[in-house]
Parts: sequence; C-alpha cells; structure tokens
Amino acid sequence: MGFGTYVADRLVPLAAGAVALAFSALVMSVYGLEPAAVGFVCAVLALASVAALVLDWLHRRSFYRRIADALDALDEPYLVTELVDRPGFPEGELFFDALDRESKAMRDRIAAARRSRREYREYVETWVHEIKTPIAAARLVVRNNPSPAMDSVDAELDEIEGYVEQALYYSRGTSLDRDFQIREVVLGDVVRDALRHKARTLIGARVAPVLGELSLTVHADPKWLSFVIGQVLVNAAKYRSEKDGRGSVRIWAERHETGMDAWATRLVIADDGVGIPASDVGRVFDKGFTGENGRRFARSTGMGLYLVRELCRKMGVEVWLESEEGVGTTVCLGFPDMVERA
Amino acid sequence: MRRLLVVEDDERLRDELCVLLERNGYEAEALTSFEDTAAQILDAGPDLVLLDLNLPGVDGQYVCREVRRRSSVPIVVVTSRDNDMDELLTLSLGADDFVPKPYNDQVLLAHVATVLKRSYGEGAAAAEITHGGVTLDTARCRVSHRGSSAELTKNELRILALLMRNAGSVVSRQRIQEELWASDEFVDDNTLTVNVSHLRATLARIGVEDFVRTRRGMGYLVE
Repeated sequence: MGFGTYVADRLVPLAAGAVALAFSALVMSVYGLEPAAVGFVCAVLALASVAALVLDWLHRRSFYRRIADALDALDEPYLVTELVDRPGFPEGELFFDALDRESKAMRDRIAAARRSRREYREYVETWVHEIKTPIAAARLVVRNNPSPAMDSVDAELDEIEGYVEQALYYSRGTSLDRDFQIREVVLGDVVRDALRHKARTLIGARVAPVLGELSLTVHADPKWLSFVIGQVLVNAAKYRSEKDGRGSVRIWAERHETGMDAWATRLVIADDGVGIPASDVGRVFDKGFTGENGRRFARSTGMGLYLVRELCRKMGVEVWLESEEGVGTTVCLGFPDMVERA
Repeated sequence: MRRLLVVEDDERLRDELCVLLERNGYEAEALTSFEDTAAQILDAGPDLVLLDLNLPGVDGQYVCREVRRRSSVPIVVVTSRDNDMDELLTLSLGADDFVPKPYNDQVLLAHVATVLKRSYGEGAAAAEITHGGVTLDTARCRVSHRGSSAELTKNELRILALLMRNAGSVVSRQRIQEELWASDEFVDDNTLTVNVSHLRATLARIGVEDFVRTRRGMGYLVE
C-alpha cells in the first residue's frame, strides 16, 4: 500500500480537516489574531496531522507487507495467519481475525479431505489385494482344466487383472503421499519383469519382443517402472499391425553424455503397429483420451498412457512418444541424469 | 516324491493349488482349519510349506516366525500385497521365498522347484518324469529311452516337461510360449516351431518317434 493510495482512501476526513483548519484560521483572523500567530497554529496542526498520518500509514503498511510477504513465501497460503502477528489497530484486527477463522476452516476442510482420500486409497489397496485371491483361484481352475473355452476365460482374466492393476496404480499415482521408492535398478530386470507380466497378452497378440542392450542402470521405483513398461507393451499388443496379424516390439536402452561425468539414460520401446494419427499424437497422454485408434481397434479407457505420464512425472522420469501411421509407435523414457561415481 | 503343505484360507484356491501341485509331481496336503496353525504345520512335517500370509484370525507373520523358530522347513510365502516392504518383511521372518498373487502357475512352480533344489540339493524337485517309456531328467537336462540318452537344451527340456506333465491332453502353442516366457525366454512363434522340431530330432536319435504329436490349429500332444 503506497502512501498515495493511503491518502486517497482518507480524502474525505483530510478534506474535512483542511476545511476545518481553514475555517479556524478565518475565525482567528476575524478575532484579530496576528497573521503570523494564525500561520503558526495552522502549521503546527497541519504538521501534527501529517505526522500522525505517516505514522499510522507506516504501521498499517508493515502489517499488510508482512501478510503479502508471507503469502508469497508460503506453499500453502492458507497458513498465512500462522506466520503473521495480530496487528495493533482495530480494522487490521478485524481483518486478521476474519482471515484466521477462514484459514482455520480451510485447514479443517483440507485435513478432512486428506483423511477421506487416504481412507479411500487404503480401501482401494485392500480391495485390490482381496480381488487377487478370487482371480488367482479362477486362474488355477483355468489351468487345471485346460480347454478352448477356458483359454478365453483366461484371456478375460488377463483383462480383469489389467484393469485391477490400473486401479491400483491410479490410486497410488494420484495420491498426495509419496509412497514409492527410487533406487538403482537394472533396466533389463525391469523390462523382463514387465514382459513376464504381460506374457499372455503379448503372446496372444503374436507380438514378440526383441531385446537390445539393457544392462544400464537407472534410478526408479522398480514396480512402478515395470507397470509403466507394461502399459506400453499392452498398447503394442492392442494396436498391432493388421497386415499379417503379428508384430514385434524392440526394446533397448541408450546412454548420452550430458556433461562432465554425467549421463542421461533413455529406454526406448518401439513397436511396428498401426501407429497413431498425427492429429492424436499430442493428446495420447491425456486422461480419458481414446482417439481414433481407441475407437477403431480395441476397448480403450484412455487410462494407460495417462497413468504412464503421471507415474513418470512423480518419479522424475520424462516420457515422450513418436509415431507414424502404418509404421509404428516409439515410446521413450528419459531417466534423470546420473553422475558417475568415482 | 516331495510333500508340500498348502496353508491357504480360500477353499477353492487351496483345492486348485493342490491339484496343480499334484499334477506337477508333488504330493500336496492342505490345512483346513487355522487353529494353532504353526503347530499343525510342524506336526504335518512337510518338505515345503506354501504359506498365505493373510489367514483368517491368524497373523501369518507370527505363524511364519513360529515355524521358523522350531524347524528349518522351507517356507514359500504367497501374498497379495506386493510392495517392497512386505517382501523384505517376509524374508526377514525367515521365509525362503516370496510369490505375489495372483501368480502365474508356472512362476509359482518355478519358485517351489528352486527352493526345493536349494534346500535338498539338485534333483530334489520332482526331477524325473516318465511317460511311455521315455524318462526325462529335469535336473540334468537329459532324456533317455531304453538305455540310450541325449542331452536337451533348456527350451527343449521345458517344452518336453510341460507336454509330459500334461500327457494325454493337447497343450496349446500359446501355453508353451507362456511357459518359456516365464523363465525369460521370450521366444516367438517361429522359434517355438524350430525348438519343437529340434526336440523331435533329438528324440528320434534315441529311437523315440512320434512322441510329440502336432494337433493342427490346437497345439502339441504327448499321448
């Protein structure tokens, strides 16, 4: 709050004071007081008023400044009244108390929302763990009684399992808690884990993996990363080329020097499927985006790549995608730089 | 034959597990009540325990620790919680291995076989399969018939073992591929065909003809 604004806000009382002062000067002159004395009295009064005004302005300004600074400094601005003292002037106190009440109400709301969100998440986790027992039982029934009919049940079970897994990672990936563990992992181990996980889907789609150099290590949560790779693999199976009904997905890792003893590693997963129309490429990571392929080829919920982006973002992994219709799709995961330890 | 004890509260899962294990050359028993589970396990004295951690009214971790305190029987823990903490915790309880649900049957069998091998030495895990005069030694990777024997590659061994264990029923190509993928051999269709023809050639060399039959459009069969 500049002094100008402050004065402008008090224009009416100031004008009234000025009028009163002028009137008093007039009266004093009428009563025959010496002009010098009148001038002196007026000057004293005016100076005193201006001084009072400046002091009051400084006082208020310091309070409002502290509020503004605190708001800038805080990640959660609703905590501002925790950081600023109650001011020593009535309007400020009214304002402060209102702000304080408001922010307390806000904090309660947020705490309640957090709690219910955490509870919901715990429920999802429990539900996911419980559903796995009947799925495992159904799976064994299928395996113990092989027949063509059971094979299709098996394939449906794969889909169910896939959706259950997505639900679990949706609740984990969108959670406010940071509950993943970044550690050093060998890309090949994670890739092979994902391939084993999605084996039935890939074999059923006749999509064969071609593994390149994968001995590089990166920093990531192995389970999350395996899920991410799995989603990309499922897409390679879903959107395989229609021409000969089979396909391949090449997977390899690359390392680029980014500076003195610093390296960036990237994992490339390239399929030779139908590719993505150019008009859709920019939106495939959007939540719920199904696009032309989603409508044409497979049941698509538009969740797979959205989860890929979200989980990667949380792990600090960059993800991008290139695609050409009729040629294939290439998904790249860019891992944070690693500094070579001496 | 190795005796396995299944400790799992879900009845259907338990029954199917036993069927699966029996079909793969093990003797399988199961607990049906979970009172004093640890004592029951110790009384049964199996060669390996397949333990579900989420039992009704019983703390699976406690059971695991109790059994381990009094016996060195190998324990494979099966759990539906798949996070690193649980994995670590399980192994710190003295379990020998950890398989997350819902498991692939081949993965589960592979874990069981590995633990048995580790605990009782090579050849402990249902090592020999015999069918129609052909004997398959899974520990040594050898197949023998009337005194002559031949060495198999890992893939050939896995394919033949799967077919012999399911003797009498057709095993789809997809199933065989899955089996191979479960042990990190990500073979495609063509490679599988090549593997099978090599396997047949190897069998022919020891005088076994027509052992592995093709059912067009369905898969392979050992009758």
